[in-house]
Amino acid sequence: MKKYLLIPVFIVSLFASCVEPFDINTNDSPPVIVIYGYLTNEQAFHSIKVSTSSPYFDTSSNQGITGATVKITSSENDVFYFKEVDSVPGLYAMIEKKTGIPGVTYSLDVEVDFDNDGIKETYSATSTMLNVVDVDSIEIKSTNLMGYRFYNFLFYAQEPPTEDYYLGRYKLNDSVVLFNINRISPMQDVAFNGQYINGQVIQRFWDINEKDRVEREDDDEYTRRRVYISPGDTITFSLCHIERGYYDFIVQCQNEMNGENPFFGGPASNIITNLSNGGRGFFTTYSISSAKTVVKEDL
Amino acid sequence: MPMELFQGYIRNLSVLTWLLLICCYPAFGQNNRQKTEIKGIVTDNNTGDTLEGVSVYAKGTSNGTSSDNKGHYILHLDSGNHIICAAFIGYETKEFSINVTASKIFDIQLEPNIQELGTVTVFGRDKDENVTSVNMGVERMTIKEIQRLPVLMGEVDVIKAIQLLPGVQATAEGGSGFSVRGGSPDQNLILLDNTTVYNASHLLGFFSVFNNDVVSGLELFKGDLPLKYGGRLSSLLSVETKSEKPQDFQGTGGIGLISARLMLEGNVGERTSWLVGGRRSYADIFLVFAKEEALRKSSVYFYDMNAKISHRLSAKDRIELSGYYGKDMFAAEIGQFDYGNATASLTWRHTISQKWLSRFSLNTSKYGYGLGSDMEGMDAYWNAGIFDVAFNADFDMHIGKLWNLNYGISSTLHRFSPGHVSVAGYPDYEVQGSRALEHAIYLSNEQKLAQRLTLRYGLRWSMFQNLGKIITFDYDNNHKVRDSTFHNGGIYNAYGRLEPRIGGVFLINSSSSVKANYARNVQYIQLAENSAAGSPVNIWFPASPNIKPQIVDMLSAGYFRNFKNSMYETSVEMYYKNLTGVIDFAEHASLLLNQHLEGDIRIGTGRAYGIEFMAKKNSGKLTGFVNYTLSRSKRTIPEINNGKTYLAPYDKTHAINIALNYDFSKKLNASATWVFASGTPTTYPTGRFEIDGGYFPIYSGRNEYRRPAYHRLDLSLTFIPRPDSKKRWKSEWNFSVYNAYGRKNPWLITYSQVKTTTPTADMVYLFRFVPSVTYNFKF
Repeated sequence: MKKYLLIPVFIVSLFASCVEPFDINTNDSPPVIVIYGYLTNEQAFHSIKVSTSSPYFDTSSNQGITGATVKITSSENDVFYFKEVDSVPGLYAMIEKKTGIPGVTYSLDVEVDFDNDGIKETYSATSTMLNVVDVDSIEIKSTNLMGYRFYNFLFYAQEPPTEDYYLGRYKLNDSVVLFNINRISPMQDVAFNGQYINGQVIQRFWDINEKDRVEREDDDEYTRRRVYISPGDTITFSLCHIERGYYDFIVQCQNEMNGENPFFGGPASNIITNLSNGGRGFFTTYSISSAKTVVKEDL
Repeated sequence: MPMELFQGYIRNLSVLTWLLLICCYPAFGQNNRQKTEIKGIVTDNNTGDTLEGVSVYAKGTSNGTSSDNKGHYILHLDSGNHIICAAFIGYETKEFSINVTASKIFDIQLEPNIQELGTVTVFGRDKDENVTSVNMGVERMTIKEIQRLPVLMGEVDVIKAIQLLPGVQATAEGGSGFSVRGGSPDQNLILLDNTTVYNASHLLGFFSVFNNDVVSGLELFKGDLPLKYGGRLSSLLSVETKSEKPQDFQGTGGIGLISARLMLEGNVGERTSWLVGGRRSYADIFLVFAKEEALRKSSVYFYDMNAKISHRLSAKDRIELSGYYGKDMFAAEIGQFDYGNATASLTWRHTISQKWLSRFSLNTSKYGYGLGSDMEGMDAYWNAGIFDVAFNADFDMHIGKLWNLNYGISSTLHRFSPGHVSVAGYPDYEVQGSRALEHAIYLSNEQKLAQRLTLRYGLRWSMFQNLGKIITFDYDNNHKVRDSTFHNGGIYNAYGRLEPRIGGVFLINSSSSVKANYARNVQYIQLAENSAAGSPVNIWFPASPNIKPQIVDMLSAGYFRNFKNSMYETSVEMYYKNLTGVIDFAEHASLLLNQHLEGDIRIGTGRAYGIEFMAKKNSGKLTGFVNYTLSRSKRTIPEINNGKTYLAPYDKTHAINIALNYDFSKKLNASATWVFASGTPTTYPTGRFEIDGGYFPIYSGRNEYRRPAYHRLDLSLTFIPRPDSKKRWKSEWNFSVYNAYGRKNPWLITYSQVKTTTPTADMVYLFRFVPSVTYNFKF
């Protein structure tokens, strides 16, 4: 549904509008700790990233924070320990592969002396893993849109009667695609709450045959983000059942990262966090159900 | 006399002189009626101003009329002797005996009634009105003044014109939203022939819905509204369509870069006149030349239509039916988006007696929009809007200098449709609609207490009632739904508020005065809209058990002085506004398709104050005005900006507007406008955090920074090829340049993380050196 919301912007571009770099001079806000990570019901070395904020227009990337103690404690009194990954400053991974359990509440604690006053502070967040919502099946269908060949991605599932939020995670052959916060598509169930989701299109992949043409026409951020598929590719879809707070976090990150949207935007607002003690970022848990299909030759 | 009139005609192309010319050259407008026509202009003998609404009738017959807004009257009489009477409030009634043998011109001069000399101008417009009238913060512009201003893309626009007035600000580049004295755009009551217009924009705000061919003029009240109006905090903009009776079938029109327009008017019989006008943009026809197929298959256009019929039932009764319909359409292969207004009004004006006038009207207004997706597997349609039906009864009663009463009642039914989405294959999703009644009863009096002192005061009692079968929600301290209540029809919530307004003028001498007033306005319905760019995708929502009415108390005072027999007008006005129940939106408020919109609203207080300087030159080769406004507008809302006071989104510290017009000759006229305003308050990112290689902003306090100042120069040249031509077809060319020195005024500020690995800011600016040419004609 998002794309057609861009129609007005497209229309405005018809007026000779121009874009040019713009200097913003502000007083920089003081640095704060940033913590981000998640735990799922998949067996994995789940990880937590700890870093510092920086001035908005700083030209170097944000620094990781080393020397922190990171652990997750469950409401069943399980404790998962993390240790720093040497090659990536600020990345903390589980010591051994672990699995989260739906229905259980997990608390993250990060202990570190962020403000360099010689005393360690604790930054915490909690999340309860929601139950699994099973995917019945998925389907890939070739289609034409605005003169281009695409593959529509459809899925089938029984949606529970509660208010629910989801993420779709896609693996193209063996690699996860479109799963960075700025590219992920979160969903809410307002339009189909409690219904059988009977082949809803929720993603669209470009046909590999369009790649040359598309890249010839434009070479911009959108082009580079595109995912191309062809017959024979395997697509693994995972329906992630996420908490409302995490859904809001993703939506807010995506809304705020590009500045103003003249038609559908809100007032510039700080992105909510579930971290305590002035930290930013997010810690969450979610359950995953997956299905797999192979892209067929178009008939 | 005919020579004078002829010269007058040459000087300008107004309909007024056109009519007079026809009088001089009877062959022009001759018709084959058996009756003869007596016509002319009614003027004030002292000032020479034309008088509107004067009853002119032949004694002892049923033949009567009233003069139109340019003072014209026409009587159709049988040949023979007649006694013609002319009567008007505030003037001595006059009688003339004339022998009618053939059609003739008979101008009438009325003597002001001694008791009310000079001060109380209820209908007519006095040269010194800015000094003598009790009104403050009132701006009037005629369509002629508006048409001389340079315009964007050749489209004359009444809203762009008022944005040049002191205390009035455009809310966005090229947009038709406006802020009055620091208020929000939804605090302006916009009326077209007394009917509310909920969205006055076309093409996402770059043009307004008012077609200048059908508009006769406008009045803007910047806070001290006449008591018969209410429901908005900041202002009343009243736009009137032409109401003068045309002499004959005639038309005006124009062809510009963006749109073409045509207005036709005429008479049916002696008592009925009609007007139709329309516009359609045709920029979209160029899309067929677009390089991309997707663009070729797109459409972008707007159109609108105005129609009006007036019928004189008798000398004392007139009915009028007026309507507007307009639509904007944007469509591409992936979907479409449309929005538009429709308004209609039926008005009956009845003269109960010479000193007692009445007006009854029934008005409806509708605004709605729809977004549709045509993408395969994603067929969806989303629509929303507001619909009103209103009834008004208004009376004017004039009894001597102490009692000039205006009273009446009004009642409006609002129906709010906040959003309905249908997605193919799934049940519809609808945000619960609601209904409400808004009533008012009012009484005001204007009285002359002493030779130099006139007061106007009154009281408006407004009432708002929520009704219907609806579920309302109760919110806890965190603005989450705590409880819900089902209402089984009828009124479930009501507010009543008293709105006193009082003002006075003290005449220091015949050309200067001081004025002061106090006004309270109450607003019961408001707009959920974040975008300063004036998005058509917005929602009107009512006061309710959770949202109390917004109230403003405004104090203002001013000094008014005219020079050289009112050739120059100057004024200084100051105002202070205190607002309660001010709404703003919480961080991350979700305004659209939100069942719990009220949970995203935060309520607090506001203050606004300012001083406005204005100097205007009304006659001579050079005319125009210069104004400067110094102002402040602030809000304090406990849960926004950590409860610290912040600048309202439309706060502009300094604003300067200059509009000048110079007549080089009968053929050539040039004008220029220059506007300057402090940058709009804005929230900038001051820090950032990083996740997965993406950067996300940490913001400053709300509206802690300002954008760069806005300024722009517009120029235009009007060329009349044959000003002396006696042909029926008259034409002129208008050439204009918008933003003549190419100032890059930021419209949007966006952030990007693509060009470099870390974020950069870009500004989007819209219009630089936009030239246009328009051909206007009249026949």
